[in-house]
Amino acid sequence: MPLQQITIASALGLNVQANSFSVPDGSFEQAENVVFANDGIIRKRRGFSTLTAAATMTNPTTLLEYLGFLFVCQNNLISRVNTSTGALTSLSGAMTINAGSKARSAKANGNLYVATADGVRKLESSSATVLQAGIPRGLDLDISTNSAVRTGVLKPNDAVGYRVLFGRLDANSNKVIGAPSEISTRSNAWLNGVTQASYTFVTTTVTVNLTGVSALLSVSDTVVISGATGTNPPNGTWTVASVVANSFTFVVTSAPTSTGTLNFGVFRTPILEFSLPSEATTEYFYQVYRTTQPGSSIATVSDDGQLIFQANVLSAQVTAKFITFTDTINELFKDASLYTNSSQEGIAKSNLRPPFATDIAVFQDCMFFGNTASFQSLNLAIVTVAAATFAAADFIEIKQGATTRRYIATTSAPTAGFTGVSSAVTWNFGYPDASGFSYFQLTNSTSTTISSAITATAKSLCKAINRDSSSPCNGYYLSSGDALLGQFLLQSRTLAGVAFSVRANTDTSASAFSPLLPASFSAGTQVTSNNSTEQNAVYFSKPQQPEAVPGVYTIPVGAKTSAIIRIVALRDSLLVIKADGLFVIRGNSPSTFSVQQLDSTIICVAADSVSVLNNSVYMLSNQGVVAASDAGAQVLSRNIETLFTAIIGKSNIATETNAVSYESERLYLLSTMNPNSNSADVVYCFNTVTSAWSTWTNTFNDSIVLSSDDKLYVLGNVIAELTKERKLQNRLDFAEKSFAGSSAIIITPLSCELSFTIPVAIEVNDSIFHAATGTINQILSISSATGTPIYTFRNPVSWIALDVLELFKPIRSAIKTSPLTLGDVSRWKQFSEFIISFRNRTASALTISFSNDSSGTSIDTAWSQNNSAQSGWGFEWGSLWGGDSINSVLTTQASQPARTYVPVLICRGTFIQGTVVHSVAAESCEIQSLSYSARAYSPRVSK
Amino acid sequence: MNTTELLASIKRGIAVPANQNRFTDVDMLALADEETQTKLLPVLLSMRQEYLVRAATVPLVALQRAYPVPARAIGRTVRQVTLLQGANRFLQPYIQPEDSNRYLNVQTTGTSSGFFFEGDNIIIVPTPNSATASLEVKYEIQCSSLTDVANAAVITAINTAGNFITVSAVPSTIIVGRVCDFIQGAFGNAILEIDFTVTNISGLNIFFAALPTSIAVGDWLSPATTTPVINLPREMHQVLAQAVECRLLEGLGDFEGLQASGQKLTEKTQAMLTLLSPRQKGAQQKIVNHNGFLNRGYNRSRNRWN
Repeated sequence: MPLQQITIASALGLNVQANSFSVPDGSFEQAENVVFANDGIIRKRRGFSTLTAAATMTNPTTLLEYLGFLFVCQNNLISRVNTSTGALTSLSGAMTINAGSKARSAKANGNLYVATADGVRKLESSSATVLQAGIPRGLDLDISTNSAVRTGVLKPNDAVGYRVLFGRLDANSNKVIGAPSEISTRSNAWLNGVTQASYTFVTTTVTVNLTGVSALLSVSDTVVISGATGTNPPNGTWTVASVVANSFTFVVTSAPTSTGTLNFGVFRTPILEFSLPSEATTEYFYQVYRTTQPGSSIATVSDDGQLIFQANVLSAQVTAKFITFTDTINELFKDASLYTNSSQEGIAKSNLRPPFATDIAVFQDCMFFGNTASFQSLNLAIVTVAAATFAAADFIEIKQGATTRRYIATTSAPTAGFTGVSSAVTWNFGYPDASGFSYFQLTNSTSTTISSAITATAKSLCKAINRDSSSPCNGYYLSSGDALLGQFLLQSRTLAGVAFSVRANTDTSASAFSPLLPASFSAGTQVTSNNSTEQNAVYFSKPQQPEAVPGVYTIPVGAKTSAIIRIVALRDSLLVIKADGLFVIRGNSPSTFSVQQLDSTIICVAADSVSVLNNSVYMLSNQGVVAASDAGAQVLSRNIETLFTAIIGKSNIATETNAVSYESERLYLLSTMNPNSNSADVVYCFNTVTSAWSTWTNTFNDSIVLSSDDKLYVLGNVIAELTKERKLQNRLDFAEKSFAGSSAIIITPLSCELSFTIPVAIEVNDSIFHAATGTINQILSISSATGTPIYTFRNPVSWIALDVLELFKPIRSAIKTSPLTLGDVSRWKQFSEFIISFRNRTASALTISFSNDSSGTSIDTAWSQNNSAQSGWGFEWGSLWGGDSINSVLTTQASQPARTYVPVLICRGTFIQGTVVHSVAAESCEIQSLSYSARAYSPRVSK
Repeated sequence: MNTTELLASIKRGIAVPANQNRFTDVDMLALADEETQTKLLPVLLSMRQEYLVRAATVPLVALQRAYPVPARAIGRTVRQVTLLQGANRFLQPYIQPEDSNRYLNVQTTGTSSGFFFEGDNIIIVPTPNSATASLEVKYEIQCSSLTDVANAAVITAINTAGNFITVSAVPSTIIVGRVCDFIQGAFGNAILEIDFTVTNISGLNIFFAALPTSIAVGDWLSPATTTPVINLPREMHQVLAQAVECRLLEGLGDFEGLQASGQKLTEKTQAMLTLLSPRQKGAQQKIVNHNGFLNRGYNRSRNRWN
């Protein structure tokens, strides 16, 4: 029987799952460090150069891209990476990124949002401080009036309410508005109280009688008369003409004709005092919203505030930790309604800060937050301020972790012995004393009504907490309307999830609080904050306001006991990947967002395997690698399924698996474990166009393709260094690490000594790049006979002694075909010749071996290009003298095929497998076909 | 043609890949040896042109009847046996072993009258009773096994007084105590001298107990029974290469190629025969009647008639 030619002209990638005798020709059992990017071509992958050494970073976890810059999360900081030198510039603003965890990120409104262990952080530029996303809600708000000022906007026998909020115009001109404070009201009752005062008159001069009125009014004050009885009563607004101890007069235009009684009052000017959030800077502004006045000092104030004032926070106010605003704004200048008014969005849609989330994504202009947790919160109430229970010098302490803050009750400003930062004159609630203790005003019930005393004390305590820059929490006074007085909320300032506890100094003072506080942090029933962890919840922001997340903007997804693993935005939907399957959120606005289950059988086994590619979500699941979209999911890894079924049950599969998408190369790269390994040691590489799998060896903890240069950056897992894909589009791309050095003594035209001080050995098949001539030369042999190694090169060297050189280490690429049987596996064959055809003349050397049914491997055959055969026309100039050109070749080029005979001990068998290894630095290897010459024996021979 | 050239010719002939482990160079040279022995030597010997004949002289030992056939004699055959006694040469006729008894009682001093074979020995009769003569045995020597040229050394100088030769490079295969052959470097590539033991090596100088007189600069020194050049006429080299190519194609299972190559081998062999025989082209061959009346002198015929 004549020789037959078996040619594999179309490489199909790894195929190890199926019966190896039934896979199509072009299947491979090994395809290491290659890509099947071009249809049917096996191509060496590009290499990676060290960008930032492992020693430069501390616990690097995540790579981020923002504004074309590369950032690395390390040492609980976000550091900008110089992609040329690898130098790091850490941005100010620390955060917590747990080792082994990824900081998910999303871009919106020109900012980058990063989900960290202590909440969502925000980058507004490549160099600005990293901030906590969102604006803190308005804190305490006190409204007072000055009894000596009897003019202003607050009408007599009326009331007014205020809310304040903070905002900030970020670096990208986004106006970020926080949630407003609780509404605080101030009433202005008749000066005569609930009982009308009597009046008399002499012609047009009206005299009003009220004991002690001289303390309330002065001559020329404007006084409002209302509800006067009698004939032709003197209702209206008049000017006080005279005041004596127990009466005052005013002149009316039309004299009453009888005496009677009346109410009188004066205008007031509200004075607002509100605390600044501890993180507020002069970049913040504040807005004051004033309600309409209901017309009665005892009527309920409508929550219909309109903007009356906005101003930037001043540095003095930052220092003082509070702002005082005197409301003299005329009603005519009331501006926009507060967005939380019932006529607007409603208070339920306050712009709360984003919750803690394990993942974030932008979909339909809204920022989505998955697997969330709220701020740590603790509701408390002061139930008594009786002096016997709660007295001056009593205190409470708030403890979070190793931080304990003390708040001491005082019945007056601590002028004696106070050694805090501020003097006694300017003492306020924000300044701790020398011991770090803060003070709050205890209003005992002996000085006012019980309700007022409780309210004042509770508010004062909140104020003291809010102005303590080291406090772990803020205080919000809650009681309003008919609610039980004295209630307040303590809420943590960060989303780190660390609970805080509260105690009083004695059991007696502890009884002033509800729930009952312990007197010790180590004994008794502890009163501790908690947060709401919603592992199946998705929260979302208002459209185009990624930092405004109303509490009602949430969708529970699937079972409450199954956590959200990832949320990923596609073009028309948001895919929610949960432990109980795949869900999809559709809609185009907060009011239309709804969730549906997409697939309950696909369970993602590694959160970091999730990556978006070609508008589909790729992930490692219980069914191998799948691509999911809002239309469904498709298994992609059938050809190598056995490799995945062996690892998906491993306990550390989630921590050892990471993935990245490479759109321009159409690759999904999955770094994970080999079946017989317990740590990541292989990267599965899937080309979405050719649907071919190969493997790479450079496993990673995280990786990213930077859009600004379209290069792959890799954070290694074995060595936590940052490496950068070589992508100069020339031969230098096909090498791993490189080292700088120089030439030394030139021995012969083909050999020389080198001077490199590097941590690795110089080996055969390393290549030397000579930048001055742009040529590269391969080390063929090394001789150490004379002590100093002499390196012999493939081509005559182009450099002279002391020239600057760069040494490149090779990438080892290997392929092994699936068994080739000539169509009949039962029949013996003689395989005689093996030919590898290249697309271009870039591979200079290969190692070829074979295996068959009787032998696992043959001896290696070293194949190399024959230079002398390429000296004619048709080959690049420069390929023979001084080294090869570094220019890449992208089309078919005259090239020697690699041709060899199958070794004698392996040439006879029922099948054959060829293994080809290329391991020469700085040269590509593009294989277009593999072919065998073979002859089938007579069937008799086989049986 | 040396072995490097032979290998290049073989590889060129059927385009053997430059890098392969199916057939090593050693494999190919071994195949060449096989083809030499099984194809070329029979052809060469069939022409009876005395190509490979050489002589070995063995002193007779008193009362010793058996002398071994030279170790390298092809087929354990001899071409001619002659008794050398002083200046006289007595051609020893081959007698039938059955006739040997006729010579048992004839013992002259140190002489013999004929010979026959007994196993691998030449038996001379009658057995000499003294050691006064020698036996010259002419035989056709085997071609040595081909070896890489790197295993042999080219003689660059000869120092007869010092009993050493200078070589271009001393191969690792030649060490003190190694028995070597001298191979003709010029065309013909005959085995000049055999079985010389190296006594010392100093730099590029290789010493022997004594040097043969037949060697010249350009000749090869090679370990005994090996040769870096083909010990056959130049015209046979391409036939040998072709024969090896056939073996390679056969080994590869390329029967189509084998058929074509075999055809070419036949053609080359025919051409070779016309080149090699007759060895003398002009003179007429003289037929000598050894038993004729005029050729019956004492010295020439005494053995026949004893």
